[in-house]
Amino acid sequence: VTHDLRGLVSGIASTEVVTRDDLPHEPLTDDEWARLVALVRIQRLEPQLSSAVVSGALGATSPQRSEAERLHASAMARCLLLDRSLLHVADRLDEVDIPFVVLKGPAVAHLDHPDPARRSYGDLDLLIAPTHLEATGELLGAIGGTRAYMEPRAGYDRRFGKGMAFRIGGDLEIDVHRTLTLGPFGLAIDLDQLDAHHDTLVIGRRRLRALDRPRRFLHACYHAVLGRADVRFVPLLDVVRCAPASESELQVVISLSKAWRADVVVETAVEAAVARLGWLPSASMVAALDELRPTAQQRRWLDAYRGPRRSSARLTLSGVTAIDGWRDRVDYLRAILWPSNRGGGDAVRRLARGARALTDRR
Amino acid sequence: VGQSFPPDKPISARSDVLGIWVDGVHVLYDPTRERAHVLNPTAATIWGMIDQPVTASSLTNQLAQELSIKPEVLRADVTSAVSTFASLGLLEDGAVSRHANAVGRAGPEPPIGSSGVRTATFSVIDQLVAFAVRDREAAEAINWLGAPLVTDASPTTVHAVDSSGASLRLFPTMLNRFATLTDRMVVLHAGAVVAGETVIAIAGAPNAGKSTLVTALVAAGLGYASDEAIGITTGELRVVGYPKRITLELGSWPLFPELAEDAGAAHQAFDPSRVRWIDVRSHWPDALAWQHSRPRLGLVVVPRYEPGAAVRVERLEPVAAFTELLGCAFNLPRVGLDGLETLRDIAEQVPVHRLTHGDARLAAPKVVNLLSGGGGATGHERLRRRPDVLSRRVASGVVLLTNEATDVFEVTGPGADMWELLARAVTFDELVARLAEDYETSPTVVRRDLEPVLTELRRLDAIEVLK
Repeated sequence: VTHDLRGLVSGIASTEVVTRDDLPHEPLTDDEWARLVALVRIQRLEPQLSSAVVSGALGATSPQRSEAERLHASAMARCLLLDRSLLHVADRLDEVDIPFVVLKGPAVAHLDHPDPARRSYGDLDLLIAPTHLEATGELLGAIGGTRAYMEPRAGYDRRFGKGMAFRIGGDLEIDVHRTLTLGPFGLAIDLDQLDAHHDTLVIGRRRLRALDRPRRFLHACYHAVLGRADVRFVPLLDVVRCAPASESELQVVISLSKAWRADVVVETAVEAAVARLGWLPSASMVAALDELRPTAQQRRWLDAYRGPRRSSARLTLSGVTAIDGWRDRVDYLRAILWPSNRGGGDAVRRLARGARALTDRR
Repeated sequence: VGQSFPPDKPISARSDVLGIWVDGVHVLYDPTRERAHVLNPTAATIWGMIDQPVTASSLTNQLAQELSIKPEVLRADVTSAVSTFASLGLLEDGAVSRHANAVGRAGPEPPIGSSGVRTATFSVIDQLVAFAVRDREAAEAINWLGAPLVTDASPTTVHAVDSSGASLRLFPTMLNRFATLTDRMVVLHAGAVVAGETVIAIAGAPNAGKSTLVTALVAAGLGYASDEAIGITTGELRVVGYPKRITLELGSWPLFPELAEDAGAAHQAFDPSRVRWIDVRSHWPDALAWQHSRPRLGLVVVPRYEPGAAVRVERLEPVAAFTELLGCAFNLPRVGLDGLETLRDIAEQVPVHRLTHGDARLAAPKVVNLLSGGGGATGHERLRRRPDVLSRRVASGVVLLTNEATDVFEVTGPGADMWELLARAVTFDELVARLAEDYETSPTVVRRDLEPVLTELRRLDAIEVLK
């Protein structure tokens, strides 16, 4: 028997949401198992694979079961090291009075899962106010961080960028976010609204700020729909885990989706979670989602992220239409078309060339 | 109390005196006099206020203001504390040079040279040392004595040794002193044996019976790290051995009949009338196999030999353990505050026991039991996870990460269930009873399974004992 391994990965992910009795009960061949493990690791679904095997939902030989357990333990070891790094960085940010909000992995693991061991993650994401971005970059540089790409022009990060990405040592990646995503959807987010309400997560003895649940849900939607072209199950699971749990949370989600022109993002994310994971949203959520009205502009934006002609240049140019005010638009275009920062490296230069090529064609 | 001190004389703390908090108690270490002082809370407060020049009078007023009480209530206490600091030589008064400890306890400083016959290179903690002597016989004698320490590495220093008969007899002592020269880690005057990944240090003054107890433990199957000195790294408390020949007093010889054939193994160049030098490799070939790992310190035993005494064990509280360790530290003036902090970490994290015995071979099993004996926890102490230890439950057990560890640890089996129960304060006896019920097995079996796990968790500083 040859199995559809990508379908099987989808099935394993969905065990987090629904009971599955249609996964293979007979162990996979060693070759198939090895390929399945590789896909699971890419998708960071180690907890779901382990529980599917241990519960018997997915048949496995004894060595396969041991490997599944080992994968889960290793993934959680990585998460513990990330949590501790988060605490160290948090201390440093506190020392210089930079407020921050913990995003994604650690926040969802500790706040939205009954057991944080059900959520695997591989980096840290922090939301920082635009006025503190530069100081945060300096701080992370001072503790050994290397920035992945530089801003194209001075002030771009603070005004238009998604944020900054740093690597510290060999393993630790920290994404510093100004907003939740790249491109027009990120530029359309009102940062004051984004940072308006928080939940508290506790790691060790330490209390840290996270977005409140409606905003975590929206972030999961952005991540699931706009993060990558291929299907990523962990963000989809986050959509399910962070789904609004009350009428008031639903209203916040609808209100912010409209304000941030993200109706199409939420609609697409929920549809994907339903289709890929077999999720059944509550009746009140389905009713609330009916209030979403994706516009033609939103669909064009979405196409820049996911369509067949997607590219970084196209995505960046689409951002112009999300910026209010002609002067800001000019500054934005000047920054991406004619970057002045020679330290920006190949990525920035390629982006500028691509963007200019697109504008020439138009 | 009641000592007088001129109220307007400027005073300030000697800047070379090191202070450290151990288990909530402030301890000062004077590296020049090599003395430690345990301060009560009042003295600790006053010491913290004299890092800048003040007078006893202004100090009294300042403290009174901070405490919102009248100066006259405090004056006697402040004066008493200041006079005590002065009498102990802890104040800047010119009587003690603050730079005296820059030289500290001198190590061997013979003339360096390369003339004559060169010995092999010996690894002594982190020193690579060779010796230049006048004749081949002296070189052979030194090579014989240092045989277990020989390395292929090139020496970082070559020391000329007076190899005349009387001087050569002092060579074993001189070699030991190279162990104290490192400034990269604290060196304890201690023997050490290795059980798995864990080192048991046998610490104490000369003639405390370290070598005899170490020999008994090695004979019982443990690895051999030293009978004289070990280095301990800062932070991780990993042990660097100095596995020289064991120096065994002739009086201890009857305890080890298996060594009888080695009774003549003494080099006439040294003093064979009092001791024998045992190469552990000749009797216990696996005794040095641990050297391929980087074991950590897991237990400290401070032995005391009393002829005819039964074996008695007493766990030392952290402050008492710290002061005991201070007395065993060879190179504190060289390593300074890092060394002091290492000793503090040992005192707070590693069980330290005083062991009184009249027979090393009877004491050895007790020492091994201490290592696996519930980490020193009595059945009545209330234990709890440290709140800052991060952990996740997984199918195979629990993975956990302490604040300082570089590695994530995994606890499996009943140990993982114990970790779950340790989310709340609980005694070891209660843990055993609860898990015996869950596993439907005898408490004896559960206790035997859990004790090593608890020992390891305590060594990792993952558990706190609630007072």
